[in-house]
Formats: sequence, C-alpha cells, structure tokens
Amino acid sequence: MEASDRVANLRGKIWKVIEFVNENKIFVHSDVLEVYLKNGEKRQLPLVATLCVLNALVPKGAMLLVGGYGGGKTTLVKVLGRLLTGDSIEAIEEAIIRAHPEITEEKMVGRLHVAKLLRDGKEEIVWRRFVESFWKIIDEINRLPPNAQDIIFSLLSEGVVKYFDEVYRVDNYVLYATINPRDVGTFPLGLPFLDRFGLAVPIVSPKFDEILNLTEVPDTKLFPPNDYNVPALLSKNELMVLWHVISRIPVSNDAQLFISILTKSLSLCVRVPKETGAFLQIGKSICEGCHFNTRESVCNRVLTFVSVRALQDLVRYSKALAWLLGLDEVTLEIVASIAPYVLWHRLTFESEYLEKFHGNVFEATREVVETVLKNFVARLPLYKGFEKILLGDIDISTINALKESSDSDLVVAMDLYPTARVVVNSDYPVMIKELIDAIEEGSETRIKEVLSKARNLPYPLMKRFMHVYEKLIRKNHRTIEITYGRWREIIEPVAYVLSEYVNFPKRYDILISPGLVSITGNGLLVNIHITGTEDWCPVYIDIYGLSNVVEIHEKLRKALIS
Amino acid sequence: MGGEEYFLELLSRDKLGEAKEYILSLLNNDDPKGLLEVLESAKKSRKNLRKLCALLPEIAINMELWNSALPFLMNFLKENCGEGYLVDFRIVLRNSLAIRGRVCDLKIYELVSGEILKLLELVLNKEVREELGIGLDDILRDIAKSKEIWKRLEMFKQRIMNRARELLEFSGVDEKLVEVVEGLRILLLTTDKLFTKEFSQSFIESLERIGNNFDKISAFASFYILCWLNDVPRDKLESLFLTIFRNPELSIVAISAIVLSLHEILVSEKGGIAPGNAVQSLISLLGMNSYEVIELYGLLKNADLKKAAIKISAKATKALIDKVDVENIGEQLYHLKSFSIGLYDILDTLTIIIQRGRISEKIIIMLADILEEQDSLSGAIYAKTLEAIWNLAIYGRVSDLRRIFGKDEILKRFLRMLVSTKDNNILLALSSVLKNISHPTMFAKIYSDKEFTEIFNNALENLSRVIGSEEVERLKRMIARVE
Repeated sequence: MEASDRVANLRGKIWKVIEFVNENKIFVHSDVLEVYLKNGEKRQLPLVATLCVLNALVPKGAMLLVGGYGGGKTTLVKVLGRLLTGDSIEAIEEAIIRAHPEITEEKMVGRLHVAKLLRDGKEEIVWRRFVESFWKIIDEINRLPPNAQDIIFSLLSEGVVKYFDEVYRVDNYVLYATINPRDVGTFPLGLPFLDRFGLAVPIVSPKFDEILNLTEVPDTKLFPPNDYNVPALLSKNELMVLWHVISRIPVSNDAQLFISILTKSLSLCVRVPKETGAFLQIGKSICEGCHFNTRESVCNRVLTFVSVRALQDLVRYSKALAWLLGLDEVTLEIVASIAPYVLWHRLTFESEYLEKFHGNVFEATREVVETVLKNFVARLPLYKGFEKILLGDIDISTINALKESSDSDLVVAMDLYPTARVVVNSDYPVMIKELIDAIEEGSETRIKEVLSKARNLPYPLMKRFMHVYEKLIRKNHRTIEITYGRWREIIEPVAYVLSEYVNFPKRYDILISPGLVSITGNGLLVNIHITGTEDWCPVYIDIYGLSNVVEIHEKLRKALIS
Repeated sequence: MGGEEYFLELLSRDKLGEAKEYILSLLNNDDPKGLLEVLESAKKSRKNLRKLCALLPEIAINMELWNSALPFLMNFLKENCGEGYLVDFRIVLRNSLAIRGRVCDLKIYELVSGEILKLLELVLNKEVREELGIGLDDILRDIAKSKEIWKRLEMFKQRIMNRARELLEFSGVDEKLVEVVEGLRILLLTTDKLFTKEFSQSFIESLERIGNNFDKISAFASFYILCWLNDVPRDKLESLFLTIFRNPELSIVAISAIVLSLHEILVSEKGGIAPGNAVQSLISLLGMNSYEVIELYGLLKNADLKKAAIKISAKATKALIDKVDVENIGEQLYHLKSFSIGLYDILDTLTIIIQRGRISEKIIIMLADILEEQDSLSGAIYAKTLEAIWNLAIYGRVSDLRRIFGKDEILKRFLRMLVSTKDNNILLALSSVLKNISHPTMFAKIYSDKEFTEIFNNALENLSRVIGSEEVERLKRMIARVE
C-alpha cells in the first residue's frame, strides 16, 4: 500500500472515531460545526466530537471544554483517548488530574523515590502518570490554584515539567482540560495561560429531544466504557504521523490574508497598543472621539490583542479540519468556521458590547469574526493590491485607493498605507523587478547581485524583500513522496544526488528520525520531511529553487527507480 | 463690423437681449475663442463690463456643463465681475440644469472635466441621449478616443466577456454597454477623483436625481460605478435599490452590473482596485452572513456570475421585503425563478415573504410551478418548499388566501396539485392550506362546475392518504351541506 493510501485510510479511521462517539451516544449533543466547501456545499459536523478530534490531529494540541457539570465532557475525552491512541481506558483514567484548590505539586508532577532516598540518599523522581501519559486530561482546570496552573503553563509553553533538579521533557502529547465555570473553589485563569490552549468549545445542555434520547442510553454506571466496548481505532504513532502530514497542507492565499486581517483587526488600536494592557485598565473611554469608533469597527469591541500563538493555532487547526474534509488546501471557509473556537477564550470584550450577547463571549466572538470576514471580502482588492505593491507592481490607483480608505479601515491606515508609501518612495520596487527578472532568467549570478544590493535597503524593507524572494523561490518546487521503508533503502543514492547541489548533512541519525531536515545551497532549498519511522510512513522530499529543481527531481526519481 | 465691435455696440446701446443672443450663438457654435475675444473686448469699458457681468448669469439658463466655454465664462466672472456674479451664474446654472432634468450637476463638474461629465450624463440620462440623438456606439467611440483607454478596454473585453456572456444574456445587457461603463470607470479613475468622498456623494446625488427615469443603460452604469466608490452610505444604497426594484427587469440589469463589478473588484487578477466601502454597504444592506459572503465570493471566483446575480437579487428582495409593494416582490421573485437557477435562494426569500403574510398571486403561482417539479427537488430545496407551504398555511392571512384562491385558474391549479402530489409531507402541508381556504362559497363554486367537481373528488381521494378517510368524509359531509 502506498503511503498516501495509508494516510487516506487513516482519515477513514478518524471519521469512524467521530461516528463511534455519535452512534454509541458517548456524547449526546446536536450542535454542529458548519463548514462551507468551495462548491457551495455545506457540511455539518458534530461540533464537540469534531473539535476534540481536531485537537488530537495537531501536535501538542491543548483544548478547553467549557460547560456545566455532568455533561459527559470528561467521559468523551477519555473515550477519544482510547479510540485515537489505543491506550486502555484504565491507563487514561489513571493519568487524569482531577483539580481541586488544594492540589499539590506532588499530586500532579511527581514525588521523590522515598525508598531510594532513604537507602542511597539519591533524589530520584517518580513521575506521575499525568506527566508521562501521551493523552492528558485535566478535569476542572479552573480549580487549580495558581502554583499548579504554573506547572501546566510550563508544560504547555516549554514542553517541560520540573521537579527538584530533574526535568521531564514532554515531547508529544494531546491535552484536554474541562472547565466548569460555576464550580466552587475556582481560580481565575490568566490570559497568557488561556492563550496556551489552542481551541475551546462551549458546551451547553442537550436539547429537548436529546434528553429524551438520553433516557434510552444504557446506564453508564452499570456499563462504563471499557477496552472491550471501545475499540482502539488508531495508535499513537499513527496519530503523530498525521501531525506531520497535516502540517503540509498549504494555506490558500485568501485564507492567509484573512488570518492576517483577522489578527490585525482585533489587535490594532490607533491610539494605544492593546499589547500594553491599557485597554483592560481604562476600557472603552480610550475610543472616545476616535473616528474609527464606528458600528462597523471591531477594534472598539475587543480589549485584548490576538497573539502570534493564536494565529498559529488558527492555521494548525484549520489545516486539521481541511485534511479531515479531504481538501487540498486550507480555504477561507475553513478558517472562518474554526476561528471563533480558536479565539473566544483568548478575547476580552468591551462590557457594553458583551451585554448585547448577554455575556456570551462565544457569540460575541462569532459576531466579531463575522464582521471582520464581511469587511475582509469587501476590502479584498485592497489587500491584494498591497500584495502586488510588495511584488513591485506599483499602480497609482492602488495607492490612491489605499489612501482614501485609510480613513475607514484601521489595518489600511496603520499598516498597509504607511508601508505602501515607504515601498513606493524607495528603491524597493526597482529591486524587486530586477529580482523577478533574474529569477525568470534563471541567472544565479544576477540573483546574488540583487540580493546583495537589497541588503542596503532599510531593515523593514530588506526583510520584506527577503520574504518575497523566499516566496518566489518556493513557487518553483517539486516533491517526491516515498515510504519510510523505501527511504531507508535509498538514503545513500539520494545523498549522492543532492550532494552535487547542496551541503548534504553528514549526520545519519537526523535523516532517519521523524522531523524536517532543511538543506540549502546554491539558491536551492531541500526539505526532507520524515513523518514517522514505521515502514509505511510517508517521507517527502521537497525541492525548491530555480533552474535546477527539475533536474534534481529527475535524478532523484531515477535513483528511486534503480 | 467685426464681432467684437458689434457686441460692444449692442452693449453700449443697451440692446442686452440681442447681446445675449449673440453670446448664445457663439456658445452654440462651440466657439470659445470667439467668445473669449468678445468678453475681453468688453473689459475695456467699465460700463460695458458691468452690463456684461449682469448679462452672463442669464446665459447660464441655456448652458450645458460640457460646453467648452463654461470654464472661460466662470473664470471671466470670477476675475472681472467678482464672486457675487459668479455665485449668481452658478445658481442660475444649477437651477436650469435641474429644470432641464440634467442628472449631473456642478459638484461633479468641479471634480471631473466637462468632457467626462458629458459622457456620464449621456449614460445616466436617457432624455439627453434622445435629445442629442446619441447611441451607445457614439459614446463608446468618445470614450475609447485615447489609445490607452482603448487598449485597456480591449484587455477588459478579453478578460471578462466570455465569463460574462451568460450573465449578460440573462439580464439582456448589451456587451457594448459593459464596455461603455468600464471605459467610463477608467476615465473617472484617470481623474484621481473616483475614490474621493466628494465624488461618491455627488455621484449618489446624481443617481437620486434620476428618480423613476432609470432605463437599462443608466441602471447598469449607475450600479456598476457605484460599487467602486469609497463612500456609499447604506441608506442611500437602499433607496436606490428601492427605486430600481420597482421594475423587475431593471433590477436584474442593476444586479448584473453589481455582479460584474464585484467580479472585477474582488476576483479578477487584472481587474481594478476599489476601496471596498461600497461593497461593505452592499453586504450590509443585503443582510448577508459571513458564509453567504464567502459563498458569493466563491461564485464570483468560479465565474458563476448568473448564479451570483440570482443570489444577490433574492437577498435584495428579502432585505427590501417590508419596503416594496407586495405585488412587486412577487413579480421580482417570479422573474428570478424564470431563470431556473439559484432556486434555493429564491425559495428562502419566498419563505420569509410568506411568513410575513405578504402573499400575492404571483407567489402562489410560483409555488405551484415549483411543486409541479417536486419529484426532482433536491434535499435543501425540498425542505424549503415544504417550509414555504407550511408558512402559507400558518402565516397566510385567510382573507388574502381566499381572495387569491377565489380565482378559478388558481383554484384549479391548487386542486390539481392536491391530486398529483405524491409526497406525503407536501400533501399534508397542502391540506392545511386547503383547510384555510375552505369556505361555503368555494365549495359552491367547485360543485357548480363539472370539471372542478371531478378534480376536487380526485384531490380528496389523494388527501385521504395523509389526513385519513374519516377526515375526508367529514369534508365531504360539510360540502354536501353546501350543495
């Protein structure tokens, strides 16, 4: 079986996981995640199950399930752990942290090996199952006291857990945390802490008919989910291979632009950077008299900014959803569907605005995303026009349009128009044109000359110039896909071919471990992407560059056949 | 005696009427040089100058904004007569333009040249077109005079016409008209004023002046250019939509213009750039949610322009539902349905209209048309059709229903639907409508006509499948009493 067939097969298994959850009434809930496909077709996916599965499809995914008690949140993620990793329900249960206000570090992280300490005087740590487990669940995370939150914070941000002098590196994991906002003994969760959670889903009580349905469900006290009635549909390794495969899904230009605009629209303020927290302290009075303070604006509704991490999460979860739906790329529709779930727990809203939604932060977020999207489509030509300017295509009507709309569009006013003006008034357009000519000509000497000239540009322009260069180079590429088994057989011939063009690494170990090996040289970039170490796992060799790309691709293909 | 001397003589002898005629003759001959010489000659005597200054505002009564002498006259007034006379001149000119039904006014004149203004007036004002005997060919020739514009238009044609053909056929818009308005847009772009707020305001004021005199050319041109502007308030856009929606054919033309310009703005790689405020207002007016916006964008990207037009039309009808005459809405939707695409959007609007109790004969006919093809209705369309019939039963005012179904043709059609409907859900919904219109006069009518009676008996037979034979018998007993 080809690697791609195997990956497609895994997609089928993921769908089976979602079906299993629904069919077996593991989580009875009819809310849907609506996704529009390019042909206008609408897909309705079971919201909670799909989002939980998406969280497992991104590396080190961390997700919040926010809702009242007794809804089945914890059971759902336990069952998903069994379905997606093959671990026993018992092992998953043992690794769960059940938070409470007096939980100690020892209960969460580890303890000293008392016998060894007494016998040998050595401080050896016995790590808790939560730390070691791949599938991590924290029940009622908002009941964790601040010091315990710090431990989780360190795990989520650095991927390490520390106890005494020892450090446990948590390389791969999937984490779910439930929040019951109305519980006793809860602690506020800080914004930076919440920002570490890629996704959050609001969970409300089942609907009328769903409750009727629930009365017919077998008694879980009598028949709890166990390893016999919950099959292991995937393994941890398969899941981790999928992380790599999904990371390769490209993001369409429209989607890229939307992600940028969404982030900027929520974060920008013409008067004070939201990053300073001034908005949180002073509130909407900052907006008084500001001409961007209109009904259509979103900057006046959100008091916090959107972090780079949030936008990266938006990309990651969008890729996962696109892959799940079998799409070739992340579309605008995909990003729009997933964005509210990536953002709502990270945003703080202006109180009057929130009142409109009776305090429902999720609905407020959904409305904000919707507004940005509508504005985005209306302004798309401006954003594309700006992209053209960066490619040296200067049209006076574009500059004019940017200038005229800087009155009504904050992103244009603060980012696009000023940048466009700087670009137009510099050597940048000429140099970019020279670069494009040189690339079209395939002349490496000329490219080098232009690149060295570009180093004299002011720093921000030079950075943009290099970014455009990379983009242009990446346009011309070829990919070879093989299985890991075959890769092991042909590493040497591949090394032989590539050594002619790039500085091929001498370290064999990195060429057989999962990860991305980037090799550069002579205007070429070769990425070797190893997704896993089982024979069937896909390995991708991506070659980016100028004239040599086709030649190298051909040589590698021949090496593969031989 | 030379022209200047003759003119001075007239002024000196206070023959002001003749002097005015003389100036007008120069204006009519489009002889700005001659005019300038005559005006300059009057400057020599202060007395004559005063008389001339008082005379010139009267000249404005007959002037057009594209008259090449206009800048000279205004300049002369400003420099030699003073602001007061200039203001008089402007007032007279403005009023006379309004009286003569000109659409463009001085505000636009001050933003674009008289030459471009003339073209604008010609496309927006059918009366001027008729008055001057000018057709689209002439306008296009004038627009494409410059090689640059001609080249850009050629590129535009290559880029868009194949994609737009179906849309243009659908709306009955001539390809030449598309060229004309795009040419005009390019010309406006060259003035650097297209994106200014002043131009937006003046252009919208001009469109308001058209009032009920929109024709195909002006409707297409107005809405095409509108989409490129920087400041189009929602309320202004709404009133323009309301004006154009009085005529379903024109509304399709206007929507085609919108679709075409949106395609150029949002999708076309080589298309122009627009600030996007007008598009924003449009989205807001149409009440589109983000998914609908994305869907519309997708349709434009896939060059499915006809479907995009149907979508916008259906959304616009829905948005204006409470402000347009009910018969008009019915006509509008019926017109859209005749193109047999975008049925879901049309049905969606239809459902809302019925829910608001705004039922017209056309709406019932439309539902009947859709039901005739019920076997081929796909999932979402089937569900919407069913919802529409239930809405008819639940929200339709009994008086309205009885009035409409009181017409023989409609009643016959409805009864035939009851006979032929195989789908139980639809039949059940239709039975509820029947209950609403059941009235002794209707039964009397049914049993006074043999054909009616036969259809009705067959309908009752079919109905027994969903309402049960007992209910049917009850109905029969009720009818028997009427008999």
